[in-house]
Amino acid sequence: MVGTSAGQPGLLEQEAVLELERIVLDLPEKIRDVFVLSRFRHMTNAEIATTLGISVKTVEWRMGKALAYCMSRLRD
Amino acid sequence: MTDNGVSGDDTRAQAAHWYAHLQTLPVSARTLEEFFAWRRIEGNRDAYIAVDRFYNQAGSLADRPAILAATQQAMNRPAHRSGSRGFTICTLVAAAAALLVVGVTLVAGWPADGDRYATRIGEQRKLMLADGSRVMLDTDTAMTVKFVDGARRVSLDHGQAYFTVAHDAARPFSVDAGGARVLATGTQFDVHRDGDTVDVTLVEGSVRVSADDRPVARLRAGQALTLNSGRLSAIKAVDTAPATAWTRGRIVLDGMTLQDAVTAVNRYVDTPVRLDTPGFADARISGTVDTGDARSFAAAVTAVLPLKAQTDSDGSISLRQ
Repeated sequence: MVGTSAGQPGLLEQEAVLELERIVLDLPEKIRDVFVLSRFRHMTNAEIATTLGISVKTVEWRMGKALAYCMSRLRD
Repeated sequence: MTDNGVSGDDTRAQAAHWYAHLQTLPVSARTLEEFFAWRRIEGNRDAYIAVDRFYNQAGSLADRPAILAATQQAMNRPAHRSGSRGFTICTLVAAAAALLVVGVTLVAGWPADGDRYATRIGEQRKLMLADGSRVMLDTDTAMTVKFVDGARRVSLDHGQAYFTVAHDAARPFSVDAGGARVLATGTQFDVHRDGDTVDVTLVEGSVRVSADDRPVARLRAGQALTLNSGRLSAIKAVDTAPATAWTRGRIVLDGMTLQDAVTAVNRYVDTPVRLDTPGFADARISGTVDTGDARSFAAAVTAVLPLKAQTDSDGSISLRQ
């Protein structure tokens, strides 16, 4: 929540970042590749397909898997 | 159907796959219609928003060493490329997406009269300032950065920038946009200047805003205000995700009028989309488009409204009945 003054980054926030990072790094490798290229290299699905030598359909499928996995982990 | 646990999982998985599917551009009209139909079903819209929120939150990991390493690893995988079908289509889509250039610049040194940074139309740029603060510049933006003893000063000449300010209570960080000044010590906020109109959206922490040296407001996270020639609009509670979606290369058009959406999309392209039929200016549309991808935007509009898109010889797109 919001403090009255701009304080140090809260511990909770740092923990949330660590948790997010763990979830992303725990993704199975092939699925993680697609996710990180999309999220951190801002690649389109077509570009990811070219980079990894897979079809766009496979990119979509792996990306869907990655997101579904992360969402289910977030709920725990 | 009645088991909430199972259907919840199922909904999440569907939302995740829709999210992934819609990232393949351009999106066909048929696909969009199917997506809108899916989203009308109870619970699906929220699930989709949750996926979008996660995707956006994950962006905060971009600078973490382990994430950078994983990304680099993915870049270096040997691509087993065969003379693939679909190559032509991929190349075309990639070319369209390349309209948006994202550059990363490291800024060192403490110049006496300030450093000027600017982006062209369609360009976005990330800067790391000498104090560790990060700035992302949106399309067609110009600003000057000047650090002196006891103060960190940015002047936004025009355009839009997202600031992630490194905490330093001894050296306040200020952004001047015309007569408006946003004062922060460590926080995240977005400033958009269009002539005399300045929008400030606070994502994290708190900032003080003044106009012509008069304090006008203190903003807290999730609040936004607009200053028009120094006059303050009401402070609004806002969802900060749409206002900052551009930092992730996207424009969120949820519930916008078609006219506003066209204006938002056109900020990123040299060849604009024109609304050549005034009757639909106030029609509401929803969705997300990649910055610079006017073609997909036009396809989406024609999918939901009875309009046709026609590309003219200069590359501009005309929307008409």
